Amino acid sequence: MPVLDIRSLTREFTRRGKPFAAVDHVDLSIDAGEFVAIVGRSGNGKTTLLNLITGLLRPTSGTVTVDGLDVASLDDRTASAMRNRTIGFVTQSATLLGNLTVLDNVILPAVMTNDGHGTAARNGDAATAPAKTADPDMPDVIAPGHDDDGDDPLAHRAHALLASLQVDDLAGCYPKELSGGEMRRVSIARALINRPKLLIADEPTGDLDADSTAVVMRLLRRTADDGTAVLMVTHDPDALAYVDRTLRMDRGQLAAA
Amino acid sequence: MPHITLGSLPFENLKRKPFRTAALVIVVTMLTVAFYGGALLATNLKAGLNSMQERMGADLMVVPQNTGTKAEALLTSGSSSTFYFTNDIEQAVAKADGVSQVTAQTYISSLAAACCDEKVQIIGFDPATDFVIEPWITSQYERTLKDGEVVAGANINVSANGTIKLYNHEFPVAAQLASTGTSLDNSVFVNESTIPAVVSYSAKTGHAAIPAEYADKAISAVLVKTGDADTKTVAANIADTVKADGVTGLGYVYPGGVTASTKASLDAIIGYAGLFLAVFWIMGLIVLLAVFASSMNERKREFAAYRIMGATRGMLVGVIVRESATVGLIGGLIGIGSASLAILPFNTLIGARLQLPYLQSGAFTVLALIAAGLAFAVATGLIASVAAAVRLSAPETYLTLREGE
Repeated sequence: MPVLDIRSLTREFTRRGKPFAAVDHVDLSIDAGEFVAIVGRSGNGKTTLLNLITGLLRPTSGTVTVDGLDVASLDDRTASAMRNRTIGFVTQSATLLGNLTVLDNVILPAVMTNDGHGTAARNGDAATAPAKTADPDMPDVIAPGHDDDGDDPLAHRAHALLASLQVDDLAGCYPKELSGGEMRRVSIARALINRPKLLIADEPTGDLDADSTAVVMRLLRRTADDGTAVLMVTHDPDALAYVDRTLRMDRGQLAAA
Repeated sequence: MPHITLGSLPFENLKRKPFRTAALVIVVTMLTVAFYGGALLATNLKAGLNSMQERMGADLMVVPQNTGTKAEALLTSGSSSTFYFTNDIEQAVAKADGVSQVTAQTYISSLAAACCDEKVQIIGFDPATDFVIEPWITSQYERTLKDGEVVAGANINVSANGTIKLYNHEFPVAAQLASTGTSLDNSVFVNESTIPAVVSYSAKTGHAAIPAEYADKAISAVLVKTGDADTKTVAANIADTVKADGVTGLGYVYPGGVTASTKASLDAIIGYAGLFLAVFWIMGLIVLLAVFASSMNERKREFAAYRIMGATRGMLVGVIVRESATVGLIGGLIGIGSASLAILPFNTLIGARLQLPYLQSGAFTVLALIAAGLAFAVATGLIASVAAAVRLSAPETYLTLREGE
């Protein structure tokens, strides 16, 4: 069963009294462990498609199925739980919370679950896996020791994710102290904290230099290799080298690139 | 260091926006001071009025001509004064139609000078006939007041050796009464037999309160109970009766009317204060609504982020509601604390400045007002955030939050 299955998905908006389809009869299926990229010009419906997949927008017609759940039929509570536990979302714009430190930003999705204890984030230890299996191409992915974490597995996992993206030294900083690229990497760490089955990334390398792009793309690639379905929207040609499949979106319609 | 939790999120948001939080807290504090402080003052004034009504056992006071205002001031909360009849009028008044009971009182004011501990109203009464003060004194002092002794009102400063100096004489204080919120609190009570001695002491200081020739018989007012008869008619009967004895030009005070006029004044004050408070509250609420609405616009991205991370609409509303409730609670506590500090320790001063019966309400009433003040403050905060909460709970919240992007 694919992690993401989209059938004839359409979302119309009204502009100056005339309806137009931002997403027009889109079909897409992504299996676990598959890394798919969508390219296309700005304003062609890519971000709208991602918002429909997460249930943040309701489709005009068609269906989105994530991990066996028909997203449009879910009530707010169930859809929110799905977004929290099944999907990780790296947004196009900076959405880190200015009132929280980098570490708390990464941890926050883990404490939003019903149990309030971040069970999803604690199960297994995939995030720290990169630290155990050294990657010669990655400069430093070993999470440094954090004596002040005590027995807090959420903090441990958050530090490990930040370390894998080379921003763990910024854990105590507030977002306004970060560059655009650093914020983007923290957003990725936040999206991965709950071990999502589907990771959605909207231009994850948009603000990054070549070295940082490589770090991020390798992490996304490994995330896919560990079994997560990854869907990425990008304008960055360098990022396409890491994906399994590339699609193009043009005027709301999706086709193979 | 403990990590973030959903419960601590609103507090982090408030902590990291100190200026906005302080501004909101100040607005709620001001509203709470107005609400709680106003309610406390109004309650104390009403308690004072009730106390005054309880202390007024007479239907009619017959006083010398042109001393009605002074007599009314004695009943409410005015300054002390001295006035007296030069005629023996009590018996004449008692004979009038419609009069069922009479008693005489004598009013002498001490001086704000070295001869006296303080300026107080000395009230001489006849324990045998009195029906106004005696029941009140008896309720708190079981023994009979001896000649030369005084019973002190609640606000009188009694010296450590249990005396009060008036006209260079140390009067033993037999008892001190509980607070009534009226001028009785600033009075000392002596029996009628002690009055000549008081006059004598005052004469020795060079400030004779009453000329020596009237010292034994001077009375300031005849207090009348009329039973079922109309007080105005009885007053007319008294005028006719005393006229036959050659006395004209009496003054009449109707304690019930004084109470009614005081109540009317009080109601007017409370009415205006209530109106002012309502306008003030609406203005404050508009400011709070504007601040919350404006902060909602600047926080759209933040709330969009919550949704992306899996927050339900209820969670977003919860964050806003807990933030505003916290602001309300903090503002309420500061407001109640400030108003309490400004009012509770200064009851006597407030009563004196208001020139109205003012009696501090009991602890239970104050606690109830504190609870109401806190509820008011928290409710104000919650009402102010309701518009933001409604917007957040709308369908496709995310679309609303990303409008214009």
